[in-house]
Amino acid sequence: MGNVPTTVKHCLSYEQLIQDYPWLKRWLQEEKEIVPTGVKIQLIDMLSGTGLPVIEATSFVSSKWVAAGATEVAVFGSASETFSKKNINCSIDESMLRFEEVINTAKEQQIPVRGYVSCALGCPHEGHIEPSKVSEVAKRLYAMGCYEISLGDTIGVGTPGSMLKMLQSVMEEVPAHALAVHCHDTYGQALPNILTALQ
Amino acid sequence: MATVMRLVNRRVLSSAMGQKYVAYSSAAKVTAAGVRAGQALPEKVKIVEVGPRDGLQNEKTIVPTETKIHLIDMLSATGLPVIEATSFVSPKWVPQMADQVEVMKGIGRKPGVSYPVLTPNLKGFQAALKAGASEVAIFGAASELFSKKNINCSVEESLQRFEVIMKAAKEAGVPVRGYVSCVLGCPYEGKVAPEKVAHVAKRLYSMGCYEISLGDTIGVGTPGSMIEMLEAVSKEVPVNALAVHCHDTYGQALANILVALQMGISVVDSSVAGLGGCPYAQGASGNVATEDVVYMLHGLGIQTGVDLSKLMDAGAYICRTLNRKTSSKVAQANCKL
Repeated sequence: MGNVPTTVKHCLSYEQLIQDYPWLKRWLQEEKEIVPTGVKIQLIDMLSGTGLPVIEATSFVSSKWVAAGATEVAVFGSASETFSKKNINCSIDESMLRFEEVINTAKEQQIPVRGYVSCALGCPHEGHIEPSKVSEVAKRLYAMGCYEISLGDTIGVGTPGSMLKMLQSVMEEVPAHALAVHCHDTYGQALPNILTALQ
Repeated sequence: MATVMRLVNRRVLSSAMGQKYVAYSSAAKVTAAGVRAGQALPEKVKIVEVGPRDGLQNEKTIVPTETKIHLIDMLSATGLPVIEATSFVSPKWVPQMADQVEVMKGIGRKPGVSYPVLTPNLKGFQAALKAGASEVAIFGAASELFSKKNINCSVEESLQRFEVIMKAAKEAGVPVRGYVSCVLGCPYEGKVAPEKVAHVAKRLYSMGCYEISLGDTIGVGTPGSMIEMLEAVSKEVPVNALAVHCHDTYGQALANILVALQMGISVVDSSVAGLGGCPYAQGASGNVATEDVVYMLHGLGIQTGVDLSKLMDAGAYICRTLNRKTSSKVAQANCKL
């Protein structure tokens, strides 16, 4: 589904939604535009009606999230140095220091924090990513206090073999019940990769 | 990589893991004992390319003969070991395949590559042989209603017709591949019993088909129902004589193929660029794309003999000609347009 937001990709009744709401289909086809707030709110409300237990609502790049009343937050790390520098303008180590601040603030407010590790199965700049690098970053986020680590195949290049290798490495550092997979379907591999993770 | 593959299956196929399949396939009644332990993923998988026949047959646009021949020649150069070339069904029913004789005579036959053709009856078989075919395929169904609507006779009647073809094929020394459609669901009957699939597969195999391709015709299957069905069929037909033909109508094809590999299947049908929509679901996709299958298999370290980049060239060619977008995610990801 290309640029379709993650929340819609996880929507179980996507086909029904676009049938019932033609404006949604038009919006998704023109997703390069900035989506109006009212539309975002309506989408999230519709997703809330599907039974999905978690819906990632929005993103706060600066520290306004506390004042905005967030009740759960997520931090985004990377297993690739180059991706980290290009995406959030700092090294992995520097990003971890920033996340520590967020997590400490969240702890004070008793707000749970979910950690993401991007490029878990490959990086658009570096190519192959060592499973040990993924487990190192996952371990650090978990140790800092993230309740769950979502391992992202950011460019969808992974296949069941590389998914298995990576998970075996990460599971030596983080228990399986605290792990999630975030598979992109760029090469059509998402479902077999998810199946492997379930197995 | 070999160690990785064994570990995948040991973990999947241990009796404790068997229970987990029930969780994501509410229809499956898989028992822990039914899942076999300790089998590695195959080192090699034979891909049966059905694009020129199954794919083009289900495309709205009728493709000129020269285009079909060029497509098949491009596919022959990719390393694919089997390319289903055309169908000797009456052009009255399948106008897309009316140029069957010209296609057979026009394609370059690469040594070591098979070019099977569909033959619904003795007349079709004889025409196929006359046109130079050296391997044929016959199509059964696991659903009575589908059989009646698709080939105008009951499953039993179709099997009797096939016996006639088998006799002629044996005399001519021509190998026959058997297909069973609707193995994981039927557009008319809905759920299809695994035992029915096993029954039809067994009959085709006993008649002399060297391989039985099990088709999820409407793509409704999921890993759980695939396992249940394969367990039933593999009691009647040896696993090395089985193939899976998964449709991607609900996006489940690669996951279903993966579990089939985990159960020892090493022959997979697919269609370049995912050619061939689903006649039962307007606008939906049909065949799984060969490019996506090859990507997954190569990622697993499984040999296919296929050059993915040449395969993508063939896919790009036919999509340009048909003026349609590829259904292959791999091709879309690599598209430089």
